[in-house]
Amino acid sequence: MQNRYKGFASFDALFCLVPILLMLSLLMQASSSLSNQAQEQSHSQQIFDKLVSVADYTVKIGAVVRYGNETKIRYPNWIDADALSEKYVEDLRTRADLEELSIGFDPPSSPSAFCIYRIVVVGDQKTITKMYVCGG
Amino acid sequence: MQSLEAVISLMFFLSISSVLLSVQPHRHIDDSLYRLQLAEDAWRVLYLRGDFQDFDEGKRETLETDMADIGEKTSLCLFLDGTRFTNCRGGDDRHEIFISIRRTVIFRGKPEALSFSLGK
Repeated sequence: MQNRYKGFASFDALFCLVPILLMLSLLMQASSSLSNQAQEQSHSQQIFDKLVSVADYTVKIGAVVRYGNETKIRYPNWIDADALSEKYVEDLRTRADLEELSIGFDPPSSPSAFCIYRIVVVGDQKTITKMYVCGG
Repeated sequence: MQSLEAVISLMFFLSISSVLLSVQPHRHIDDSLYRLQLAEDAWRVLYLRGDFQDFDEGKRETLETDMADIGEKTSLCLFLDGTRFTNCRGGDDRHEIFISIRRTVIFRGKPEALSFSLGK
């Protein structure tokens, strides 16, 4: 009689084990997927923050119009288009540790991972325009 | 035996539930700083264009022309609360304001703190 009960117990445990293993594998898949999602999110946020910093530096210091021989007063948001040279962009790209970076007044021709814009003025007429900062 | 199974099942159910409950909905990129910078850009551009010099009702056309220019290029609505200067008519209920900054200007010869907002 006792043996019969033991048999039932192990059979029962076997049936109990299968769903447990299934649930465990599901849990592991879910946690792995969540972890990947969090990593991607964090990476995207990092790239976006870098582009925001690059754009802010450019419109406030990097490529602004300066007047005066000694004082060199800066005019944030008034962009000196000549200052946006390839060398300037390449230096910024290296400092920001980005794989690609482009800064210009025309919408990007190639699809970049991220693109933001800033509102600026250019030229003596202070024409209102958008300055695009794209990269990834 | 049945109570043991029930306990094990309950434990797994609770663990799965807690994992599912802890799953956050897909978060969007936090662009709050960028929005603030856009509002400051718009303000700064209007300032550079001289729209706040001798600022009063007489400046409406100049200011609203520049606001419309910014709006056309960015699809943004600009609101200068307290003066009713804007490039998007229709009131707050028709537009979603997503950032406001406070700025002090000389309006009608007196310093006034105004709220400058961006919306869609």
